[in-house]
Amino acid sequence: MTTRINPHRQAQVSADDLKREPATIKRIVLSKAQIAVEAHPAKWLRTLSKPKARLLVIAHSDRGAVDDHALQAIAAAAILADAETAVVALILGELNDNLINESLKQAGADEVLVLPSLDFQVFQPDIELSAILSMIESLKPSRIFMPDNLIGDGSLGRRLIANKQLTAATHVIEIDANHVASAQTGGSLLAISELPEVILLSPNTVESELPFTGKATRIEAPKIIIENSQNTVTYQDLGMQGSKAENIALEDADFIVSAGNGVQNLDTLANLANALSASIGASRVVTDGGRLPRSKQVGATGKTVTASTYMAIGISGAVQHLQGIKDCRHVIAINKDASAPIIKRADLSIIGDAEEVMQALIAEITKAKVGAP
Amino acid sequence: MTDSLKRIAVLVSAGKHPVSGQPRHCRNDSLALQMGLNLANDILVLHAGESENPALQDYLALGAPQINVIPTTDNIVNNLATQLTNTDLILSGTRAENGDDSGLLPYLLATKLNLALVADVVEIKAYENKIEILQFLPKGRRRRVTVCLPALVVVHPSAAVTLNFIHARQNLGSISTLSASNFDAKHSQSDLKQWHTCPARKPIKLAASRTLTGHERLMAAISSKAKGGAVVNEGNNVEKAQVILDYLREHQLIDF
Amino acid sequence: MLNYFITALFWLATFILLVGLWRRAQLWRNGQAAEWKLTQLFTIPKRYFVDLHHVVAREPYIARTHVATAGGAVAAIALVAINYGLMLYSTMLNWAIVIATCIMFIGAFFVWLRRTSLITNQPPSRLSKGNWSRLPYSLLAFSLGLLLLTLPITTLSNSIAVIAALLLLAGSAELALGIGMGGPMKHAIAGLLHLAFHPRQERFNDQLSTALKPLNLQEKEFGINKPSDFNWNQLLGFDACVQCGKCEAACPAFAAGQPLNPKKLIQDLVVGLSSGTDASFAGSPYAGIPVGTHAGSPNQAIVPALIEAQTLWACTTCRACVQECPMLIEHVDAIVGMRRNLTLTQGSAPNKAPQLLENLRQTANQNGEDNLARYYWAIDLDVKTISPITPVDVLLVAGEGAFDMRYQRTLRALVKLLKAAKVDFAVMGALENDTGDTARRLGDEATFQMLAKRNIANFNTLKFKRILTADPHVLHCLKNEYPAFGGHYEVLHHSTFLAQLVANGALKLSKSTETRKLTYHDPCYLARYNNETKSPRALLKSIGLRVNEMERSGLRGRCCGGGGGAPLTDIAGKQRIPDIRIADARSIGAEVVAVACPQCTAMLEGVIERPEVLDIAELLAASLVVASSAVTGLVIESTVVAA
Ligand SMILES: Cc1cc2nc3c(=O)[nH]c(=O)nc-3n(C[C@H](O)[C@H](O)[C@H](O)COP(=O)(O)OP(=O)(O)OC[C@H]3O[C@@H](n4cnc5c(N)ncnc54)[C@H](O)[C@@H]3O)c2cc1C
Ligand code: SF4
Ligand code: SF4
Repeated sequence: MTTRINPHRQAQVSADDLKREPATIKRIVLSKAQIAVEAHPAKWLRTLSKPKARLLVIAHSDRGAVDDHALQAIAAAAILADAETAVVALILGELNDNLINESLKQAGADEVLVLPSLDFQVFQPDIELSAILSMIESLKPSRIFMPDNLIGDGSLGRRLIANKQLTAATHVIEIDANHVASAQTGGSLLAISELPEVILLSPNTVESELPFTGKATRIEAPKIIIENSQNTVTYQDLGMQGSKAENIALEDADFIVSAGNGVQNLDTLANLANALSASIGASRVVTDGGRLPRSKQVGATGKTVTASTYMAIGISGAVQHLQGIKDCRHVIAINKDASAPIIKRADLSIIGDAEEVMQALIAEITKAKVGAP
Repeated sequence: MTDSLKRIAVLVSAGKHPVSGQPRHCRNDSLALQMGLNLANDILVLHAGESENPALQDYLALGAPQINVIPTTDNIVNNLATQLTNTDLILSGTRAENGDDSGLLPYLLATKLNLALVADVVEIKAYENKIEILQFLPKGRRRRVTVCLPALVVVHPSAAVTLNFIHARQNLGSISTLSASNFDAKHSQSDLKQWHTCPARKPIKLAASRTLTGHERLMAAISSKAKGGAVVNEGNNVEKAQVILDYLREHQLIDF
Repeated sequence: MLNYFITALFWLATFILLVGLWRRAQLWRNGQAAEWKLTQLFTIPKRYFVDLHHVVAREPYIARTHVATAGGAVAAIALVAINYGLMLYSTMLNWAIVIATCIMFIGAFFVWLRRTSLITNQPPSRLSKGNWSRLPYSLLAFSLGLLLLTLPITTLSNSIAVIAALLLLAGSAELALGIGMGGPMKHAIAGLLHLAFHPRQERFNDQLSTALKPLNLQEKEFGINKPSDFNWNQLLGFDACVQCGKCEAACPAFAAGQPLNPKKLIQDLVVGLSSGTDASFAGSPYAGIPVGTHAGSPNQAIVPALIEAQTLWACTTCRACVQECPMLIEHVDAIVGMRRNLTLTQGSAPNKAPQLLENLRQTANQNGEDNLARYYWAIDLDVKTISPITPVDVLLVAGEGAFDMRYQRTLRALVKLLKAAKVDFAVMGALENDTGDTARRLGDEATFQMLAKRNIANFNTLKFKRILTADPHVLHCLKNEYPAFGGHYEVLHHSTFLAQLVANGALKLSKSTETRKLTYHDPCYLARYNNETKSPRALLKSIGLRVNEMERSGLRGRCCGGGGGAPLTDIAGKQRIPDIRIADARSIGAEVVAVACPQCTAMLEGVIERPEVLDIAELLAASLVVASSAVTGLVIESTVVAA
């Protein structure tokens, strides 16, 4: 893999950089914040005087925040909305105001309604359904967008479709003004149709970075009288359980920090995992050596993992190991050897000593967390 | 095993291997089947389609004692409903892998039969008139819920059951086709929209149209689209750590 | 008086022996019917002195003691039968008896000596204790007692006579009573009968007999569930085991500390056929499984009451045990037989094995890949792909290794060599399905047969003279196991074929520039399964490379751990089998290990600190005398485009 030199390096020169020969500066800058700040002034505000129609986006918040997937659904609506159509975001569950509202603006929401009692952690499908039905009743949207996720929106969307017999597309992986498409037959076919009434979007089908922003005016949700009785008779929520990273089965983990033969100090690794709320994995050499239990082994003869982030630390990346991480979206390698096979697989590779980089990373994370609200 | 459940039904669809295109069982449905078998010996296994489909042989090997085939895939919700009127518990997979794999069928069926429905189920315990399930939520979270029967349970792919493909069972089980005259072969209204298919290709991401400045294009080129394969081999450890953090932030993999 | 005593004892012992034998035979008869003819008994002498002795002679000490002990005993007993059984009481014959018993005594003495700490610090750990420790004493007692009693000296003090009589009584009990009761001496009778009625008769006609026998799945043959599911002659075979532990010493899984010991396995099956527990087993246990916790009987399921499943799944099917066994017992048939039942009736192969089997069923390759991708590595090499309308001389079947970037280097080297030798060849392309080798070893006979039939159907549409492969597992499957399904082909391993090309001058090679110390690792499926140990060595020699042999090589080579699906069932041990093999190589200072199998390559390269692992084809291709510029591209790592 090639080394990328940041062509925009000049914009962020540090004294340090100036001392170096440009060609040898192999530091890349992946800072999105930077881009956003620079792009912001160019963004225009989408304003609507008298909207004639509405696109409704329904999504749950997760612990007060609206995740990227939901923002993508809002952005999709915002991109497809014409000048006379308002994008209304209906958020189920609490919203931690300021920051989140900013992200809803960035995603292009014109109006925001919040139903804080419908937290995704509580299983109350009938209540949720009747709540959104009455919201739909009053808002009369021309189309409904929802993220097809597992924190309740995918399921709620389908309940809605079934209940109102609406035309719908689910698992949508491609959308534009004229059509939607979803994968069929395990991904070997693409099924295409015109835009239906309800659209359940798969993650990453929409570029949520918009050239404009919405107003994200918070409007008072109309008081909805919810028929509570039905739900409590049928379903009884006994509560959530366990989310400690170390208890999560590797197959289920979303963030894995994995140790290879190049990791001398597993305590550092454990600290790093802790700082990142990640689960711990290992290469076979490490489990064979008895340094971590066999259940932590990732690879052809170990676990096949699907984490979105896989940090391979001191792992050479033998085929047998790579087989276990073929479905991981972001692979980050820390290795002292730039020619190790893992570098070819990784989306980001840091060449350096595992212990030192881990220590530095832990320190940076601690700093970042103190700084964070 | 419990006696409290009178009748359990499992819906199985015909799968297809995404690479070879060979007919096979749909793993999700097989998990539902195994969950059913863990609850009772005598379960009703229903399939709408062709009884000759080799995929059904897989279900026999996976433990289906008998598969009842509804000989048409038209109007599937209504046709299935006619077979499921007296059922306490219906199990299905999350998503078929052949034809319309929208994951909508269980919802339409539950609505039609007025059943309670829980999705993403990884564990079931049965009690008198109700079941207690464990529901999958992302990031290792799980939720326990009791659901009154009759109910429809949609099984999550990470359900805690082991599938045993047992060749010898293929000879033990049987496949019987239900009489076609009982079923409605008209197109249902859910086929309102016309879907057409084409071979899979890389989907195109929806993005707002805009005129990019040269600078923006440059930024775009190095940020999101050009991801992957970046190698950092200089700088001090703090800088390296910073690059990792930046990466994690850019892709929203961390929230601090 | 004494004479009558011996006569009475002889007939009593004979009677007891016959009763015991009859009872033992009843146990064997619990097994399934297998073809046999009484005339096979006449084959015993040749098989004993040639085939069996061939194995025993590998250990001269035990060969000599055994000849003395057994030879002496047989002669003595025969003479007693004549002299005392028929009441001749001839002094001449007594002298003969004395000589025979003396020989036997000396033999038994050395048997005893080996089991004491006198000559070596420790008797080999592979030997069983328990009643096997008693045996030398019984044999000494028998020979000494008989010696004293038959000594043609008139005056024998009464007390000595009584002692001698007691000794003889004890010794005779071992021989007569012991056999019927399953004592160590049963090996003599069962062993001889096993030679006659051996389940693989071909073995005695100098034929390779390594193919597994097909199951008739339509007739619901699902392998071995209980001891009585074995054929009667297999049960007889288990009874022949002398607990010498040669199989144990050869077994890679045992050496790696996995819960498998072929000797114990055979003894457990003896426990199963004769009902009982393994408590009296006095040899090395399965690692981590205490002795005495398992029991069985002829009609009781073997797994897990008698043998744990992990024991069966640890086997690499390397046949080292079969190669070593002096009693010619077929361990691998037994193990795969039991695996078949687990897989076909319980679907319970452990770890990644079920996934692999599912992939094979659904995609006809082991990792669920696109079969078109199997020959992507050849895209830039300008290689023909066979089709029904393009006959070729040689059909190259790459096997599963073709999906592995590492083995693609070997295949590319092979193609380079074939081109240089102007061989008319083509690859099989998308028509190729996995041979089913791994499925079969994992007990999935159904999937194996499905794949075999598909491949044979495809082969039948094609025109070629012979099949060439760089994978010994493919070789074994196609050559030895497909004939049972109607697929008869000439199949050659690349080492064999290349050696022919070198010998007939078609392939011209220069001296190798390789200067590092080199050894050659024999793949089990090439050496033991196909008796090919010479060609790889000849090839290396032809390019001037000296093969430094490891301690275990050739037909007695040590397994890399890659066969039989063992890497997938991945039963935990104390170390990995390839680590042991690499240690073998390092112990002779080898810096390069030449290999001839994708499986071995992957296993040995999985060891972290190791010599370089290079296939024979790679070593040869590096010494190719480039006559034309027709061949390019070997150095290019790989051309496979990520899917
Ligand atoms: C049949 C079979 C099945 C297998 N199954 C699996 C499996 O399921 N999972 C699995 O993981 N393996 C498996 N293997 C083993 C695999 O082939 C490799 O041997 C193994 O993955 C190597 O582990 P590793 O990368 O940790 O060790 P190594 O190969 O030793 O690599 C260590 C890496 O750490 C780097 N390093 C060393 N020191 C430092 C330092 N101070 N700082 C930073 N980096 C450093 C080195 O550059 C090197 O790249 C299997 C092998 C076989 C044959
Ligand atoms: S075949 Fe090999 S691994 Fe299996 S028992 Fe025999 S020696 Fe051990
Ligand atoms: S099985 Fe054969 S090699 Fe093993 S102990 Fe018995 S006789 Fe010896």
